[in-house]
Amino acid sequence: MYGEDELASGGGARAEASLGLRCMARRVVLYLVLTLLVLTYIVPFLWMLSSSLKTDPQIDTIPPIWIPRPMRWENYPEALKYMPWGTYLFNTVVRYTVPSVIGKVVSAAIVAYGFARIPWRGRETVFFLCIATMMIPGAVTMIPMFVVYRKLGWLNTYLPMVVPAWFGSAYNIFMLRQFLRTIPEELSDAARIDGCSELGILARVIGPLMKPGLAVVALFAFVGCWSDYMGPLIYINASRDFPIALALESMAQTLGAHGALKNTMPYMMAISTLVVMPVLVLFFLAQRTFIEGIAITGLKG
Amino acid sequence: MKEASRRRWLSRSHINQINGMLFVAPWAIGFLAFGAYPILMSAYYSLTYYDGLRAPRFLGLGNYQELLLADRVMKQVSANTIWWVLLAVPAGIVSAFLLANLLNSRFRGRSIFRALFFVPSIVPTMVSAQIWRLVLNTNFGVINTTLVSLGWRVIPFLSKPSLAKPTLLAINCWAQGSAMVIFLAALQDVPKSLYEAATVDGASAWDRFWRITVPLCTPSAFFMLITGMIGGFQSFTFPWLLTGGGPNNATEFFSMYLYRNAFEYMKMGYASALAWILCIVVVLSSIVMFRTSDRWVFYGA
Amino acid sequence: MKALKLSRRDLIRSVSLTTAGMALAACQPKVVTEVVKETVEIERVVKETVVIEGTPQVVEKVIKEVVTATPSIKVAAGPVTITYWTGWYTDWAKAMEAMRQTGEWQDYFGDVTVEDSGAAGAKFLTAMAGGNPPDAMSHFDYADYFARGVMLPLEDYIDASKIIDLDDYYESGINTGQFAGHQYGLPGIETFGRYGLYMNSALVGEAGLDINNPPETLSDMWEWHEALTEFDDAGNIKKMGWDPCGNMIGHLQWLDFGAALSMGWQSFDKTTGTYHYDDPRMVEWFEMTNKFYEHLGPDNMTGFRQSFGMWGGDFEKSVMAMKVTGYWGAARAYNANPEVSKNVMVSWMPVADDRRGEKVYMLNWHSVCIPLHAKHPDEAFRLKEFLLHDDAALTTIFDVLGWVNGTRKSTMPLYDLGGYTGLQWFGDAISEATTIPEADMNPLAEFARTTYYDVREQCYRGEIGPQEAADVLQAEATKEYQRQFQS
Repeated sequence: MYGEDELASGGGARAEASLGLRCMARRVVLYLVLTLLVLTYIVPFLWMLSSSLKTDPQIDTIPPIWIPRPMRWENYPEALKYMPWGTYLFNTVVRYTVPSVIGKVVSAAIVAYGFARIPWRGRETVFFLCIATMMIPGAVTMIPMFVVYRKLGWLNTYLPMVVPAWFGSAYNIFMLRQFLRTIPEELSDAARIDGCSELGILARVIGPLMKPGLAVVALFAFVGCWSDYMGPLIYINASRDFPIALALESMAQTLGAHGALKNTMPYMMAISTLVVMPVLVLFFLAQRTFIEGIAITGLKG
Repeated sequence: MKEASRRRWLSRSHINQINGMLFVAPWAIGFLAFGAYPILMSAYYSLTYYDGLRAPRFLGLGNYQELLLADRVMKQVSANTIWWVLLAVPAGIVSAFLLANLLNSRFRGRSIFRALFFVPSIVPTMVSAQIWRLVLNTNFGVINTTLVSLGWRVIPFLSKPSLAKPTLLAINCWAQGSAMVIFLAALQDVPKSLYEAATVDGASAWDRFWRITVPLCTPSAFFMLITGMIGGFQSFTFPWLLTGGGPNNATEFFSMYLYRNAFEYMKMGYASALAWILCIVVVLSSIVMFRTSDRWVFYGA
Repeated sequence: MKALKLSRRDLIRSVSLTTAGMALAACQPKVVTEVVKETVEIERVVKETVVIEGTPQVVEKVIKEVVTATPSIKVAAGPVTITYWTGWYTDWAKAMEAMRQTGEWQDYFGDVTVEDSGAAGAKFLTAMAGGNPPDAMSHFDYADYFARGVMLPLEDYIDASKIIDLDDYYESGINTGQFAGHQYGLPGIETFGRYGLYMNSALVGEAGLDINNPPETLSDMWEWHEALTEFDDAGNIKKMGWDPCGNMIGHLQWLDFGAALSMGWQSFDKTTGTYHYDDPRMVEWFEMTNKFYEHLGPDNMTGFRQSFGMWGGDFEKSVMAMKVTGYWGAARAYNANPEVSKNVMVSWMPVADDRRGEKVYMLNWHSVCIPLHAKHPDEAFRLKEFLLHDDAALTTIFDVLGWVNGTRKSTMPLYDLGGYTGLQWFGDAISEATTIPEADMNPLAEFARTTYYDVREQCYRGEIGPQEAADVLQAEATKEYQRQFQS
């Protein structure tokens, strides 16, 4: 693991050779451990994929069927026809996820900056209050919140879920604040002495350093919106306005119901597989941004 | 004289005060607009019998009395929730941290591994629950059907009271992809120069891990601990979908019990009282954690 | 592209043809199915294009029509959209779609758009508490809402309706829709026999039992269960006879309590609001459950309930040989596993040992109800009339979902019960029943059910005894009822 760094910082040729062997052994062990772990991690998804190609009776046979023959690829188009998933996708992405994610990122950046990079009286108390709002379980604020949104006329829209995102969510604020506090004060002080306004500091100095953190916020916000069904359940009435998560939930309800139609479980697994794909791809592409990140030049040395 | 007082008015600390509050204002406005009223209402409801349909009936502290003294399942619910917060939350954080470390060094295929480990946390909870049910179910899950076809006894993962919570703990560790990502970002922030310097000083890999890596990740760990604790106290959707609180109330967590009271038993007032008790417990725990954080959380390089 | 040359003659010819066609069409009487006994003459204003002095003109004409299927409630002029929420959505949506395609839908609704959607308990409650109720609702916890006075009494609508004939209904169905002197709903949509003993004749035959002599009492069930249950060498359940905690008989709902129906006592008295869960027969029921579960193993059984919920998936996989559930089980079995379906035989629900020969037939109860503050109650009532009474609606629902409306004597000829094996029994049995129980109308059903499941599980896991279980259930239910309704 840290072997490569040892190599980088020197050592003689013989040291290099024995290090090389040790390095290889470590590599092999690493790969072995990781592969085993990964298998346990993704077995449930392999099973999901496998189940999506079955018919109902094949889902839970003894012994289990891993590769159904025939593989029922028709499940995918049939499941897509079962309910208007295209509409649901539009609802989820355009009406809910995109505006919500943008709002969360922007507002969290601003508010967390205020909590982390500017010293002011009462900061910690207000911050604690901010976190405290996370501690009230959603169930008991549901009815009064509903009344508020009804009075505003926002029922049956995505506004109750999108608008609050633009005012900072405590979770994201907290997370960004932690990140921001690891950036040395000297950077901000230097910029202030140079006469930069706070907003300017945020935009030009701290902002670029914040990119990994912002990317994380964006990713989590995206995932949160993608899976949220509780909010839409309460506020969205017409089924054509449902997001994907809620449609899946209503599909799941029929699994035990009186008139269950054929193949509901495989269809659900098919849709679930499709639902997981975009986020997986997004993460794969985006991980460079925040992990293999920007060189934090300001902190070296 | 005028010059001096003007300078005082525009002193750094004043400017900071104004700026700080301005930056935090979006959150404050959002809280006052969307948060304050529901929270106050829930406090009011906690003092009433309220079913959502008829007008609330004032009960004074009756709900609190019943909750603390006369509730049939409160002991079990509290025990379950405390078990979860003390065991499952740290377990999740530790496993995420270890995983992040494994995935931090350079090796081929690193991004693929990272993506695969991250997938579990992006799956909508409902999908996750269905998949795990297909995998773990005592009689028809893939693990147990395999065991039966080998002639062995099934493992009642979710139907034996003593196994149910540990199973949920394991699944929770599986779903810590987001924590892993945060730790990865934090690990990225650890300057390589520190490792180089330590190696030159003769520190072993073990030393480097414990003296450099771990301390510099403590801000993120702190964040995970606080949010994990808050989330742990509120853990609801996943166990609700997977076990419904069983078997024998072994997985009936506080938030589930709260939801049940609010929406199934028509006891929104009682549920509000539960919510506030929970809030008090969480706030107290958080205060303790914040106060003690200075001792082990290490900000800045 | 050839230029189209129209001479004036061509133009007049085509216009008059069109006009004649339209006039002809406008004069056709509306084709409407015979549904009600009464006919009504109404006036309608139609727009017609007539050719006057060589030019087509649009003219309004009043025509008198005799319509035989007019919902009798006055409806607001102009297009109206009403919301209709149902607790079971995805399948029902398909039936709704199919019903919209029928001609009868147009007759009933015309300008009225029905927006149907799904709702869980939390959604119903939040919407009603927040002042935004739907116009019509179905498939929810009826007694909870009736008892709290948030539904619209419908007596006036029912009296004025020209479609509803109360004499046609079974009386128990009407009574169930009443609370404190008001009629909140009439039964329909999915209302038929609720308890039948389904048996897999193949498994029964393999165990050497006589399918033509089905078990009648709980002791009979135990005998059959023992013969039908097989464990494999490792101690896992391969096949089992019967799970007394599953399906309808293990259930506690606002409508009834499976254990009470079987053992023959009234668990809740709606007129006085008292519970009787500490009745000695409740204790006997717990003892019976313990016997079965000690035999099967509690951890095994929880697994079955987790995988298949309450609704018989294990029966459909030939793992369980018997289940006590309602008429819908026939269609479910058919859809899930035709192999099992063709072996289905149905008999009476098992009763307490000292009640041998009692034939208990309980009717299900679902309805379309209207919240007190619904914005469009008139149109909502029209929806109710349609879903509960229109023959086209009833047959469509049966075709798509296999649900039967068995609440009225006149509906039975609509259904071909032979389509699903086992369904016919429910149609024949109702005339042989010795007991058609009244509904409990338990407004604390969710609370009572969860408490019942808790103490029942503690009991069969050996943590508490049957008497204590019954006492706890009684104490909790009584205390809660006092809190919610009597203070």
